[in-house]
Amino acid sequence: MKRRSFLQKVAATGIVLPMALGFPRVRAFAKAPEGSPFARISAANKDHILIILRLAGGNDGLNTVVPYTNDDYYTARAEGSIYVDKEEVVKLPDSNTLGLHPALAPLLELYKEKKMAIIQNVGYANQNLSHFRSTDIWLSGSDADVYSNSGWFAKYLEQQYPDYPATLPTDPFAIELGTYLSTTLIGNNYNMGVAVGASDFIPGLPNTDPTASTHAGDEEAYVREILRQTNIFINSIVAAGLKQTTNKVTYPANNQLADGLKAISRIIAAGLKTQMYIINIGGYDTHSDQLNSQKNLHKMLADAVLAFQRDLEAFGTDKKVSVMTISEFGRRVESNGSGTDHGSAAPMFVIGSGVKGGIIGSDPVLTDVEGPGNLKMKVDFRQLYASVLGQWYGASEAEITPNALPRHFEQLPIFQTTTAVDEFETDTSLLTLGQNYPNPAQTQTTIPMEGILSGMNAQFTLSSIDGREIVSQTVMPGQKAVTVDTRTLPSGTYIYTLKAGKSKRTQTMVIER
Amino acid sequence: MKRRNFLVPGAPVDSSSDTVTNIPSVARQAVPEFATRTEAGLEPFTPTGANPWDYSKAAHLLRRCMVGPKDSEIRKAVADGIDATITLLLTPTVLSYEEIKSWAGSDVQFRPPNNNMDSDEFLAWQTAQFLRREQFIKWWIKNIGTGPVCIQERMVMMWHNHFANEINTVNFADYMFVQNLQFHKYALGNFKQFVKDITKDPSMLIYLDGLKNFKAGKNNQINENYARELQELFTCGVVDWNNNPNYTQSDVSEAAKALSGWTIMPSTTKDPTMYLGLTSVFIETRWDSSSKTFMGKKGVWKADDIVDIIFSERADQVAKFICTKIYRELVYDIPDRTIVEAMANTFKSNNWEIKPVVEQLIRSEHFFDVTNIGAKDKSPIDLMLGAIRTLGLTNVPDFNLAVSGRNTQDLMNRMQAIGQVPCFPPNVKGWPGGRTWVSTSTLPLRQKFLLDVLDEKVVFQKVVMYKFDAIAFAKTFPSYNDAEKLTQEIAQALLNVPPSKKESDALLDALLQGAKSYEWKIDDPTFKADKHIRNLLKSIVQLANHKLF
Repeated sequence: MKRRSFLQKVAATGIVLPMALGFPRVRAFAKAPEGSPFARISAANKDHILIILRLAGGNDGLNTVVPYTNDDYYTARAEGSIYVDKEEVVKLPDSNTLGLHPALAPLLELYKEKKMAIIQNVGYANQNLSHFRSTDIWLSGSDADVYSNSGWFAKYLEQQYPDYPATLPTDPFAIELGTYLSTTLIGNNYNMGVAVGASDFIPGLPNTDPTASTHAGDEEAYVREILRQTNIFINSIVAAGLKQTTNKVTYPANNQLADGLKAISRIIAAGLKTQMYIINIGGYDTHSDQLNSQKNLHKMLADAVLAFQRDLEAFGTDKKVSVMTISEFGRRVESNGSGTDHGSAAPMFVIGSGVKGGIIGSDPVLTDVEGPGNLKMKVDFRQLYASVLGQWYGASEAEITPNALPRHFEQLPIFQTTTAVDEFETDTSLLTLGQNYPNPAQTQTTIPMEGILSGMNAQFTLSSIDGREIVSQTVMPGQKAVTVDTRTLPSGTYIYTLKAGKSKRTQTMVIER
Repeated sequence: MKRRNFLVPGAPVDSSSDTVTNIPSVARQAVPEFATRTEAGLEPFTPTGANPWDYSKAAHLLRRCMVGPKDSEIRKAVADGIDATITLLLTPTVLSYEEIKSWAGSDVQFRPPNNNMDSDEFLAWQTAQFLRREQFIKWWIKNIGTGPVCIQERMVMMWHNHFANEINTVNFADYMFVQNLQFHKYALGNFKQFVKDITKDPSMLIYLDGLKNFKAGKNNQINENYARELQELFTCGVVDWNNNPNYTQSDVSEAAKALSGWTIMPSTTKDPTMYLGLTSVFIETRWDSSSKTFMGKKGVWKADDIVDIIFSERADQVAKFICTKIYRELVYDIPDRTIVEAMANTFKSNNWEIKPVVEQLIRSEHFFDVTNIGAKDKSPIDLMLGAIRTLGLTNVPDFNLAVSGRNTQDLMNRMQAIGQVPCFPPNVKGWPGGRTWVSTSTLPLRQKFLLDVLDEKVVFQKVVMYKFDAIAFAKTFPSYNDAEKLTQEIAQALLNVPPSKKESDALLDALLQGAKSYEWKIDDPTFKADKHIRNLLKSIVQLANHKLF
């Protein structure tokens, strides 16, 4: 395929890769070391790649992972029928309370193959209901009361590559599809990623004269640096795109996310060493017309991600690529008549062959709300980031805290085990499972537990006396209790267990209705 | 877009049509960062022998207040002096909407004439709606790219970016036009009254769900969308300069109740089942008449009361928040704390009039300080429409409102790729601006546009678009017969900071292309000066400095 036609093809998708025209002229002033050994502090998992799908606007979590046995859900959403009918929910095989929105049905395949983790109730303390502020918090990884101009992944990279940008890598560290660079990729001192969207590039005149110490001089220095980076990175992306011009599977048509993932899959297959990609998907701010808009967005996401995963598998690159969704907040429990207003905690997905799969965390409790009726968060979003850095990129705790993240966050069992995580698995001496309260239980009951440490793969199950499993869910490190909705369970005695590694704790409870 | 959505005013469009968007999330602090690089304050600029009113300062003033001033206009400003130039800039120009008057300003046909129409008829109706959008945006960018020496369109863009509405959600160009008239009316007007009016503006009622914010019997649908943005983005901001919150969630909920009841009604002049009026109305029975406590004030508040309370209870915060924006629009992306404080005092003491604040700023020593000259990153509008106006390009495809179709949207398409088309802000917060305009993805496209037009590469049906008469352009400069002086004069007209010696030499080489200075003969057809001039300009627009203004 000719260079031109490859680029035109990519350009037609709307996710446009840049093109280098007259590149040899650039070499004179851009010192791009080809294949030079690039100093990196830690070598662990350096070929791993994360794709972040940012669901911009605040995705409604309750209509994503639907608590279809919870009457509170249907009551709160009655006005305007902003709910998913029980019959339409795509039930998750290992839960009898949760199901996916029907438009997310394609993801069920991946869930069944244990390639999809659902992390429940993700948010942060003191939820900010502004899109912009909350997005900044999510993208930077800062606390709600800290304003940060730099982001968690860029800060991690800055520490990993101390020679940057004096020496540039051959491939960009991170790529954001679009015009702008998110805070996640902006470091304390440098931009650590590259925004990709342009179709042509013409380098400017080299100028190495010192800039004046005025505001104007600062801006000129900035423009020159962007010019320099553009020259270097564009060539490597174009080269990768030319090396691998086809995909292994057919992607859904008229799906802009699929178009983006398609291009990414190819450049990964071509060996581009970029470690993170960010794709922003707008439209989730469903104050009104929620049923229709969210359905379309779910469908686009599920169709695209399934095709992407199958494509990676066919290329054999699936072991090193994961997809994570993030969104600045979930939405209000209660309907506003045609949609839902800004809320707080919501479920997030991590998908890929390197993922453990299953539900992490407890079902949302719709009566347990704060502020204007928002779900309480149970998992801090930085626990996801810590898990990504620790388990996926193989970073040590010292590399994560306090550099990339402001303080220690317990990791979640999201990815398949790495050595760093395995160390903890045998230490179950502190594991305890308490008596549920109230007992006997009527509508709901809480089971206290202790000693679930970082890296443990802990599982809570509730079974009937004849051994039939009723509830099974992953318990997070640091989690102190599980709450079970007992309204649909017949009266009788039940057994519940907490399993971690080879250790198991068992208790019984009574339900009286 | 799905048909059903289009029929209901205010219904959001099917979001699958524009799902992958670039919502920027630049870490712009709620409490702004400040920078001070000069002691110069808001005292009026006084020319001295060492610091005269000259080409550089006149160019700075015109570039910041309008888009793409021409060399001749800058020279005139030097001759007229600073006072006359500022008076001219602040004098409103009368807007002509001759080219869109067939629909602009009349009632909105919000649904097709017949519910049972076949798909062809529907399509025809829908096409007509889309044509209005196209014409409206073309009309707007033409106003910017061909307008007179006046600050009006700069302020209109600023207010569009402040009260940012997306046409994909508002759906009807008719309403965006009405809103645009508000931006013109209040370009330098009274900000408090501006907020009151924009709160009830039909576009805004559609865009931030004001239409769906009502109480009627048991049907209580209080929608917080506008109430939050009114405070967060339009008036006081989230926090004050000491990082104390300016409002609470309860203030948002209470304000939402007070703001309820505003809607758009069927037109009385035409078929009321099909036409909506262009103005909004307040329907008492749809208003939540309960007592509300907003920012500590208890009462049976309505929309105007909420605005009044914000401007009285958070006067200092509003003044600083808005003056920070004005400073960033006209001076530099990182505000100077002392200057913004002084501007805020002017704003408050002039009862929220915008004009005195702007006038004080653009005639100040601070504004003309060397640190700020050439310190702003050009937006796509400044870069593209600026080049079109400065170079005197003709046959700009998008300026032709009489014709529709892909070929006549070349400029809009390029603006979209580079990150800014009027009516398409990324979200309600508007474009973040500043350095975000220049990224590894936008820079190549910017260069491409400038080089394409300078080479007259854009051709549709054998007709050259963005026609550039290089010789005529060069002849607008006084020294067009002298290669060295012409190079300097053209560079001065297109760059904010004079080129260094090395750059000047490179630019002269670019003009001469191997010829000697004394061989320069602009009127000799065998010399082909045309190519030489294009080559000089191509070199100038590739300088990093040309991305700034």
